[in-house]
Parts: sequence; C-alpha cells; structure tokens
Amino acid sequence: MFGKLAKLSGIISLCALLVAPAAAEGQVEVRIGTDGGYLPWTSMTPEGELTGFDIELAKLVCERMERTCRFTAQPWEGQIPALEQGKYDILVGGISITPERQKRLAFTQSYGNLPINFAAAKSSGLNGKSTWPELKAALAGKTIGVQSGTQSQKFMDNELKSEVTIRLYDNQDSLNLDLLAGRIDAALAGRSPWIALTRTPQGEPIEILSPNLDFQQFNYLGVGVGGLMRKDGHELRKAWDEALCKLKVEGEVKRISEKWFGFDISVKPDPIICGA
Amino acid sequence: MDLETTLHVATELAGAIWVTLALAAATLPLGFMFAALTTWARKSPYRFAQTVASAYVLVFRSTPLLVQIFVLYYGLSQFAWVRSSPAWIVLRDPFACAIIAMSLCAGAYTAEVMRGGLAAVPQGAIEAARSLGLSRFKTFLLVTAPIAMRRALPAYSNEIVVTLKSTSLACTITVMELTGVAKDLMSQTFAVIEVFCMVAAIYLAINMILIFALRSLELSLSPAYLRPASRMRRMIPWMSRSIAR
Repeated sequence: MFGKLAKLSGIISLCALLVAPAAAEGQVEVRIGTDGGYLPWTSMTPEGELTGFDIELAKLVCERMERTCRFTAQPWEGQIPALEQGKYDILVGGISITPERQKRLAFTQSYGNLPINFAAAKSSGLNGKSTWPELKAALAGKTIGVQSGTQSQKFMDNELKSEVTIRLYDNQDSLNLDLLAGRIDAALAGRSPWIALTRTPQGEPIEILSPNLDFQQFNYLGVGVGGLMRKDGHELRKAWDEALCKLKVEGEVKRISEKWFGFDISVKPDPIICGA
Repeated sequence: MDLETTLHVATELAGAIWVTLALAAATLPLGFMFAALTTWARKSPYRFAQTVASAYVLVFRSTPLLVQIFVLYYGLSQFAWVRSSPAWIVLRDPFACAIIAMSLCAGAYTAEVMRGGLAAVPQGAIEAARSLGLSRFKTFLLVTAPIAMRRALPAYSNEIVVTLKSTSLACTITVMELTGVAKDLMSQTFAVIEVFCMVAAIYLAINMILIFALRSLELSLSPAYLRPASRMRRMIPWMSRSIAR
C-alpha cells in the first residue's frame, strides 16, 4: 500500500518535472484553447483553420504583446479542466463572465457584450419602442417564450413575470419553431440566435425588437465575454488586458465585431485596468 | 437545501399537481372514447372501418408517445394551411395538443385492453342470454359488458397509472406540469436530487391512491366466490364460522 503510494508520488513529481520546462516555455509561447464550433465567436474553415471574432482579436492581442501564440481547438466541455491542468494559458471563444466561474478562475477584462432582445413577427407592431418601459407596456398580456436556465429567463422572472404568460423551452430551436408558428407572441433570447434566425429564409417574418437589454440597465445580466485564465496567470493577464485597452481605444475591437456580427459588440475600456 | 428553498419548491410543485391531474383527467375519458369507437369499428361488418381501426391501434402502439406529441405539436404547425384552419384554435394550445396526443395513444392501448376483456367472455354466457330471448343490445349491456369489464379492469388500471406517468412528457411542449416545474426549479436551485425526489414522491403518492382505489373497485365488482379468502370471511360471516369449525 505504502509502496504503491511512494511509487505514485514518484510518478507525480516526475510529471511535475516534465511539466515545468513546458510552463517555462509558455512564457514565450501563449497556448490558447478555443472551441472552434461556436460561430461567429470561434469557428473552423473547411481547410481546418481557426477563424472567428475571438480568434482574430486574440491574434491581434498576441501581436501587441509581441508573443507567439498557438491555438488549439477543443470542445467546450473539456476546456476548463484542461485549463486547470495547465494545458492552456488562456481560453477564448464567447465565454461569458459569470460569478461562478470567477470563483475558481480569472477573466481578462470584458471585450464584447451582446444584449438580449425580444423578437416577434413583423406584423405584431411591437417594434420601434425606444425604451424598456414602453416595450414592457406593449408586451403586457402577451404570451412570451424563453429558453429555461438562461439569462433571458432570469430577466423574464425579474421584470415581466406578473404581466405576461411565460412559456419555457428546452432549446432555442423549439423556441424558434413556436415563434414562427405564432403560438407565442414574442420571445426573448441573446441577440446572436435572433440574428441567425432572421438571416434564414424561414425567419423572414421575424424581426428583432428594440431596445437592446443589457447589463448597463439590468446589472444582473452578464457583463459580457472575456478570456478565461487560471488565477496564477497574473503576468499574461496583465499583458493581455493592456493590449485589449489599446485595441479598444484604437477601435480595432469595434472593427472586428462589425465584421463578424454586423454591428458593434465592443465594450468600453475597463477604467480600473486601463486607467482614465 | 435550506427551509426557505424547500418551502418555495414545495409550493411550486403543489401548484403543478393540479396540471398533472387535469391532464390525466382529460386524457382518460377521451382515450376510453377512442378505444370504444375502435372496438366497435373492429367488430363492425364494414371492412373499411375494421382496417382504419386496426391501423390506428398499430400505429399508435408502435411509435413512442414523445414522437407523437412532437409530430402533433411542432410537426403540424409547419403547414400554413393548418395554421389558417379552424383546427389551429385547438392545436395552437400546448395543453390541448398534449391531451389529444396522449388520449390517442391511451386509446390505442385501451382498445387492446377491451379486446382482451371481450375475448375473455365465455361464449356460453352469451348463448344463454340469447336463448333467453334477450336482444343483441341487451345481451351486450347485461351480460357481455359486465363480464368483460371485470376481466379487463386489472389491465385497464395499469393503463390509468401509465397515463398518469406519461403526462410528464407534456413538459416537452411547454405545459408546466409536475416534471416541467421540477426542471425549472432545478435550474433555479441546482438541488437536483432534492427536487426530483420530491417529484417522484408526489407521483408515487398519487399512483398509490389510484392503485388502491382501483383494487377496491375490482374487488367490489368481483362476485363473492372470486374474492380472496380473507376478504370472503370478513364479508360473509356464516362462512367464516363454518371454516373456523
């Protein structure tokens, strides 16, 4: 028993020795993990090249940091354990900054934020409201669909629960089907699935309703997406954040976001990190 | 789970019990009606009615209820002509869709239960009734139906319990019955085990009451000589004495 334990600890320390030089090398080469299947944040070209909003931005950050970066694609489920094991230095790809993740890991400053939006049939006459109270008044008494377990559901519960009938869906596809069929008068979800829907031929009768709803007005909604790192990666985080500050000021983040999303999702430089 | 969360979960679930019971209460009579129609059609002299009834039973017994619900709810809504027809008033509503799909499915199974019950009626009893001069209708009403019902009740009580449990599938089309509410509570509280154990306990309690009630009905419909011995003794005092001696 103890013999085995001693052997095991021997193997572990050997592993640590093997890992140490790799970690030292990581000072030069930044290892970036990303999903590669989450358009438009991170995706793969038919040739097997990584591309997307996050990839393009990360490449610019690496340029500014004057570091070489190596991208590896791995499905999202395994990414956080791999990061914790030291396989990557940072994860990117539309990763929402949430308090649960912040407990165990660290985030760079937020560089993009998508609002949540209501969507409804163009014929509904719900569009064109400039403020949330106006839209809220128009929605009273309607049946509204939302995917369960999302920020949108949280929003419905906080803001609209007593005024409307809420229908809960397992996934975005079912929600889309019922919105198209007219079983629900409107639906609430992140802006990107609505963009995807309205670009399809079937989604033609649907439109995204103004105003955008985001954390600036409703502080319980997420503050956006950031690069996810271990808490021990101070140096890299500082360098990454500094590069992001510059890229934000120069309007590069805005430019890339307009290329991938068709509109500006960029977030203002964090005053604490970037200074006034 | 702290006390406040437990109370919140319990009240939410208690509210959902009625939705589950309403689903089952609407499904069972409708299913019985479909089954009766099917049984009549299968016994009818018309070839066409026989074929339609057999096809209905075959299709609904051989496909999963979840698929039937999806076809009815998400499938039919794909057609613009369905959405503009008067049927849309019913099909638009997830609750109505759930009831239709479940009662069609329950109807197919119940039709088989009825077939079994009718097959178990002794031919001699029917012949005796006919020879006494009873009309076909009266023979069915006074002889065939009571015997068939008694024979079919154990299988039908099974169908009732299954139907009650299958109401949980209605949550896939946004009907907030017990399971649907439980799924929502789970994403709110993350107390997976606690919430679902409470839900299981509620289903168990409802079904225990149902099973007990059905068993009592079964006993009260059985003729005295077919009841279990212990019960027979209690109900027929002179007999218990004679056995005691």
